[in-house]
Amino acid sequence: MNVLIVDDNQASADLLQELLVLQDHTARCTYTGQGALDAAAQEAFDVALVDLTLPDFPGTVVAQRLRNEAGDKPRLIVAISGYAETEAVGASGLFDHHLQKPIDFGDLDRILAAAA
Amino acid sequence: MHMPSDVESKLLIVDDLPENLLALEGLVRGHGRPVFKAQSAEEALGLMLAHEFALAILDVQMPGMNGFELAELMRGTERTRHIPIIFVSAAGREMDYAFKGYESGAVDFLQKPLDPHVVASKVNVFVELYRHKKALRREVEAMALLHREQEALVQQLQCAQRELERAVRMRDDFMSMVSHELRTPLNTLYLETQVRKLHLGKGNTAHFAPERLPAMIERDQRQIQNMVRLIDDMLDVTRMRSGALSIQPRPIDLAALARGVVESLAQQAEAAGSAISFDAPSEGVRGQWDDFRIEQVITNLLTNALRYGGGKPVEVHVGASHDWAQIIVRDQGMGIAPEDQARVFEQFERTEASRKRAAGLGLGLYITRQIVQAHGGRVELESAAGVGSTFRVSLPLPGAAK
Repeated sequence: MNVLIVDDNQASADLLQELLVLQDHTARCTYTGQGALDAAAQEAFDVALVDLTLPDFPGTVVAQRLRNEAGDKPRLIVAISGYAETEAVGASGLFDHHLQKPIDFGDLDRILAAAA
Repeated sequence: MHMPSDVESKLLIVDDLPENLLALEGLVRGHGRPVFKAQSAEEALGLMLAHEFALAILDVQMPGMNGFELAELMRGTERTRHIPIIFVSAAGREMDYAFKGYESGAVDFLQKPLDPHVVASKVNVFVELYRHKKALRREVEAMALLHREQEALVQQLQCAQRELERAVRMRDDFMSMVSHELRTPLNTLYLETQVRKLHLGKGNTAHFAPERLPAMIERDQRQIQNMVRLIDDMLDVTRMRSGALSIQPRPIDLAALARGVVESLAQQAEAAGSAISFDAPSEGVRGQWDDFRIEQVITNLLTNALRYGGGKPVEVHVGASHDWAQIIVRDQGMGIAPEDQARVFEQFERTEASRKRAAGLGLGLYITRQIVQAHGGRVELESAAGVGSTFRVSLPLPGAAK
């Protein structure tokens, strides 16, 4: 499974990538919204893990543009946030799942397994 | 309700003949009824401007302006319009003269020669009427006052309620922010442990090679320090709000302290791409301060300068002039707009621009100012958007007059 990670907290993004690679996935790390969109334009991802607070634009915008613009759209777009899921984000329908930091690895595994 | 008898009822009697005035005064005077005498309509009008009368007794036949003309003038003026009038006339003839104000009521007639009983009873009727009216007006005014007081109370309560709602909202926002801020380093730490677990599970011992361990420990410590600092900040704010922040001054060298902070932030400066320049007098700047707290001040200012300094050089100066020691931290970053400059020192306040730039609780500058003020010092800010910010901390030197 090819996973796109976008999180402006670089340590967290890098570790998540390492974790996914250790679980025999491929993963690409980006630290800005634009970085994520550029990556999605270059290759196809099965799942996108999107931090909601990014320096250039909100995670919701990243999700929307991934859904609308990417050639091969990710099958799943998952929100990652230090905050609990808000009604607005939940109701936007932009995300298939919401993971609150610290990420529960069991939940992450189940989400990835379901996308396979 | 006030007893009508507390109300003083001033009586006005108008007659061109002094002996008539005297005689009439004798008939109408009584307790709580001062009598004012006028010998002409003009004099009567003057008195009416100065006093509020319960009743005017007017002689009809007067040289110059007569009683009816005076009455018409009285009816034409707001101040005197409502004074009841009793006309006194010698003969019955004039009573045919229709006084225009008659229909407005409160007009009566007396005939000469005056019958003392009739005069007394008529005057009594008007005086009683006046007293009741006055008492009623007082009651209405008292109720209006009460009403205004109640309105004011309701407004105070509404104001207090808004304050409370604001406080509750602030607390909720604060809890949400604290939780978010703690979750971020916690997430990194949790990921570290999980990654190690997976490496271990795969028998990947290279991951734990001795040369890799120092960096690993350093990363963990940084996340832990982030969390500890967050919790310390929260506790400091609580202490400051309850006035329990303790300052323990002891002799220190401010220059050495600041140099230490600059050195400890070298790695952070490198990550931010900002070079920190430091200068201080070689003999140092010695005084009595709480080194732990002042270190916190310099760390807060310098961390902000690196965060918002846009990767440009940051300067730290330590010096002394007159009675003050100074620490100056200058960056060339995004700056703070004039309208935000006072606000940034308040707790939980962050500018929109800073929110976009970095995570945080908005406590650093609040804590900084509280610590500096607890030392008898002050923090000043010079900044312009896009040009950078200069924070100047002044601390009193030993022997300085506070």
